[in-house]
Amino acid sequence: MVERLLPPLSDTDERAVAGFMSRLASTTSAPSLPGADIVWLKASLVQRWEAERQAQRPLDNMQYLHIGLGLVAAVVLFVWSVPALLQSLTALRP
Amino acid sequence: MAWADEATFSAFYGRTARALWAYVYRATRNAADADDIVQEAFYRIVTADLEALAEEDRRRYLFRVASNLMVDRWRRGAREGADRAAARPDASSRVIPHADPDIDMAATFAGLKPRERALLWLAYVEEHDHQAIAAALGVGRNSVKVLLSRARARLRDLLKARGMIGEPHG
Repeated sequence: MVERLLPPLSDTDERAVAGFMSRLASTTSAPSLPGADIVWLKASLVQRWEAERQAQRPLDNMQYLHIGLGLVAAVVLFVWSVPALLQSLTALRP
Repeated sequence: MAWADEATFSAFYGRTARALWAYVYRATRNAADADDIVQEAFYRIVTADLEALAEEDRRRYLFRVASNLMVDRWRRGAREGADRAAARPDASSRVIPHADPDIDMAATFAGLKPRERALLWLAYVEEHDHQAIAAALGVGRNSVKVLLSRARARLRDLLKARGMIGEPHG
């Protein structure tokens, strides 16, 4: 629908646009790019780092789990020992 | 590595790197961005599983990855409200034009929006079909026809305004 509203390009204009794009492409020259071996090596390193990071992730997560479990254990131990502590304090009173 | 060997990758790199750089440079108008995007695209290609793809499909996949990276940058740039190309006036100095007409052509092409530049390059230089362009730029296939039509009309108008083709009839 929208396309119908656009005036079509004449053959001359179409050729001019195509010719312009062709000339533009032929005059665009890339500067010196890194060699394929360097890109390959860097990609290998990036891939290795990523693999190491993924392997390390469960260990990092386990650390947080250990800390959390330790805190929970401390709280449980404290709650569990409160009656005994209170009893001891009561016994100490004259 | 997803590629059979380094030699296979090197051959593919040799055939595509300069064409990809030219595409990204003309779309972004920034040589430094083109360097970054091309390298990043190849890093991703190296680790992608492309064994089953034919050479032409690999090439299209590469251009798609680079286009996605460009679109990400445009979106970031739009959010930051900064024109990176304008911020680096020396960015294009690394591409040495052959003569003044080349500067005129670059300036004319720069008059288009980034997505229009990418569309036209993929259509005319890389000769991608509408489906490949849609996949590369993340737009609908039907939208490509409309967007491409608009981009061609805008380029024609720019060429006429600069006297690079005949004046409009009537």
